[in-house]
Amino acid sequence: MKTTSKIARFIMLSCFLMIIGASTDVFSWTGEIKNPDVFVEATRNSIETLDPHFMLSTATSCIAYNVFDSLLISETGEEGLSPGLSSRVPTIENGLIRIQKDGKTSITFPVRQGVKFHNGEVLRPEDIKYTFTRGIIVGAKSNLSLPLTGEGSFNQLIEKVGLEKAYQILDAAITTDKESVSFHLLKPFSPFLDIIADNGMAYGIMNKKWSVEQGAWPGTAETVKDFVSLTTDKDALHDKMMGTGAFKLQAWQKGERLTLTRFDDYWQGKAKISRVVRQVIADNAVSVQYLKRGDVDFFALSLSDLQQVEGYQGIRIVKNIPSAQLIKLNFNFAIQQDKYVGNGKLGNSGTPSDFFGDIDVRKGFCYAFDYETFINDVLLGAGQKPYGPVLIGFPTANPENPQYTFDLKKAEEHLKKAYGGSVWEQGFTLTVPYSAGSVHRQRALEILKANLKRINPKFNLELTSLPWAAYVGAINDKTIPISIFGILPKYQHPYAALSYHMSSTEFYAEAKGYTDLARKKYDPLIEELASSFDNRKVKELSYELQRLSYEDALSIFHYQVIGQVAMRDWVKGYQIKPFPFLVDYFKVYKQ
Amino acid sequence: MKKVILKRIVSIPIILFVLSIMIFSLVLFLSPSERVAVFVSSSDAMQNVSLDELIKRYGLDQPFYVQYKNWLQGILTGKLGWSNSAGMPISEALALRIPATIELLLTGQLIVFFGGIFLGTIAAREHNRFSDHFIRISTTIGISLPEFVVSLFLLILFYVRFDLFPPGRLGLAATDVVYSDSFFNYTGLHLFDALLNNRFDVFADALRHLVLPSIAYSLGGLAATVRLMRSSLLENLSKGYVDTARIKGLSDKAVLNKHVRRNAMLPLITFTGMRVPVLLSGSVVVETIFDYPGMGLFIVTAAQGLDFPAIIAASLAVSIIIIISNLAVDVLYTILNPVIRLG
Repeated sequence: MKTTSKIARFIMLSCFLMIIGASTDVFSWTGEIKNPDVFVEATRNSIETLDPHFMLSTATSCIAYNVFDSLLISETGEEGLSPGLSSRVPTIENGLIRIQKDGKTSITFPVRQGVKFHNGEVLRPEDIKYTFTRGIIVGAKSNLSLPLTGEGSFNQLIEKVGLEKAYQILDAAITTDKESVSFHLLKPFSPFLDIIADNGMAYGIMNKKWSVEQGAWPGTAETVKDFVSLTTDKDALHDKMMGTGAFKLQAWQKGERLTLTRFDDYWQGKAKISRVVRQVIADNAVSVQYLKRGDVDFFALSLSDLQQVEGYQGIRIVKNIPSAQLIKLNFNFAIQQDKYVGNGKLGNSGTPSDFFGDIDVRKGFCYAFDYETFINDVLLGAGQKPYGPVLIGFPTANPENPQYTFDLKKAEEHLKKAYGGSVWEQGFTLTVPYSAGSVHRQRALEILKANLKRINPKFNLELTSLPWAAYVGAINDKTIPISIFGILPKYQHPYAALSYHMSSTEFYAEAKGYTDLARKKYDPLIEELASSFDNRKVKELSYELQRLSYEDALSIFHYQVIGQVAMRDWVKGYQIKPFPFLVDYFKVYKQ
Repeated sequence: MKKVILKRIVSIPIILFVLSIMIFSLVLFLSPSERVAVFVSSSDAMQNVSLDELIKRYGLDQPFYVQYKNWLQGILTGKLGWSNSAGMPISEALALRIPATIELLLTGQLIVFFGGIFLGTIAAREHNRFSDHFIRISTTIGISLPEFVVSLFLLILFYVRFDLFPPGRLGLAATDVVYSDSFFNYTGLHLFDALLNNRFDVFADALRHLVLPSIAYSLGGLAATVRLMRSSLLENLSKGYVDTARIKGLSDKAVLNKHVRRNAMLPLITFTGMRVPVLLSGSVVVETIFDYPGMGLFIVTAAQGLDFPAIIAASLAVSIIIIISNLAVDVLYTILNPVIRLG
């Protein structure tokens, strides 16, 4: 009996000592570098695939960024493009861009000599042709399909001319000789260089021989049909990758972690660290604990996690990094179904489905949004008010572009004019869903709702939440009156943001019902912008389209995301990129 | 006894069939547009895909019976389908996640079962003495504390403060070993596989990572089993057969160990079996906090993304675990209970 009493007392004493230990620094860790040669990054997002032609999320693309190289390298801001696997940047002046009288344009890339793949093979022009051809064949949609083949996707080209002819067109669009590869565009398309200069993220160069050995498209006309619009589950390269980048794949434990090792024959020299571990951790609070203990070196944290690490000894935080994500409230000019518009008439029971087709309604809404309160109180300062559709930090973003500000008087003026005064007289009732759990979406709509009510008590916005999947589904069904979604351009040429936001053939015009307006007013300018290799002209057109976006009040541009990252103070060489979580492992080291 | 077990085994496929129809029907309350969102994991992805094309490609606009028939055919031919939320075939995802959860479940159940017997016996033996009071107070606290509070407390104390038991399933070095060609994964349970491969360093590392989640996982259950065991022992100690055994000359220790404890364990076995579904649902919190990649996290991710092939497969897998554990409890109960065994 005495023994059990002793055990109980021992347990009690141990608990007491542990609590004392937890509340003091007696046992705290000394702070020496853990795993000095391994860079450990925590992330919430698991990697969806290793095939760069199937990578959708930017979080996943950052693996490709370090494993592959692209023909050109994109530098941030005004620095523009620099040579990558192509030894020169093509320009009209150096003769590598040639525009014929009929508009057909050839862009030639001299291939850098002596570059090796991770398996030791030397890079050849044929590898480059294979990479781009495969990308267009397997992709449901490709940025490059339109300029090279005249159709938005390879599937559309097949529908038009048949499989055999479609492949002939694609095959002829990319040619090689001993030392270079040439792309033959149907007409001048200046974003082309920016698109492929994605530092390996989607247009990283693959090794043809190796890819074929793994079971990917063999590169022959006869086999194309088996690889058109390939799905990830049938993709032979889904769990393999091999490029020319500074790091090579060591292991991928799906949903858990990915490990890269240094490629010692990298053409730009050896990286300083020998291994990278990208660890998927579902909860940021756990990542914070790992970081505090030094088991994780780096992670991109959300604003709510900041206070847990701010001021913690040994942890460095980089805040206010402008990110390439612009979020906006998008007006639906032609709301489908009566799910959210009630009886479809102005008054306290509904709203017409073409409510946002009236420009004064849109302008009234734009003036009724309190931008400052949203950024300061909801985002706690982690956002910037955009100038327009072209993101802050991009070379052609216009800081002087007219912008809507919070002004209830102006909002009232416009809403009094809307629908010939009927909106003001009768009011409206509109149900607007947001995605469940998205505080940002909910608060933005609450701010708008409260301000509209202040202007006229007959203005009713009813808010409701939908699960993420249903929210996406409703956007697809075009039933949501106002959706909150963004522009996430993958390259800095203004074509990316402007065409996505304004072109009649792109996502927003189609989903938000302003294709006619876009076709008439924006398409010619977008086309002109796309075909000009003159930077000054591109800038002028970009400014004009930004102005038109303001003039037609297509969306409420409420914020551009600002990111923040936390890292151990021994991490050196981290460089700020458009996506804060994009780490160039080649440059980081621990000291 | 054999008849009872056989009946239970035969009923398993029927239960699974009914369950699969139920879960499948629930998922189909959502429209194709809503369900296709599983293939669009982020707003970023919206820029690259045509949702209508995806709906067609995955047959989401087909009638219920066609979709169910296709799915069932796939299951019967061993193809569980593709999980977009996990980014791999479902069979592969389950093969990775189920062993992790089973490892956690087993260690958790061992703590609940043997810890319950040990501490419950002490409390009963020391009835109304210091140890009994201490155990009773501790178990009250154990039952009252929410799992996430316990988990966070353990994590901060034993990892952040003392660096004794890290989160995750394995450390960097052990991960390299486990995923190397020289290490053979027999069961996917790292503790067992490490022993079978004679890698005691991996065993120690896996155990080190398993300590905190299994304690957090089992603390509530342990508190309950201690109380159950204590009251069951006290009840049995007052029964006539105990006096008879003592009169026959058996020592207190022998009476307790050979007769009383065996009888007192019966409600404990039932309770431990009933805990399995509770533990599986609790695994979501524990696995999240301890960064432990098991079924809990897999199901949550699948449900959030409405990854319906994964939801159905995971639900069925969990059902199988529960059915098998119930079967094991029944068998154990039958062995220990002479009334059933001899009757």
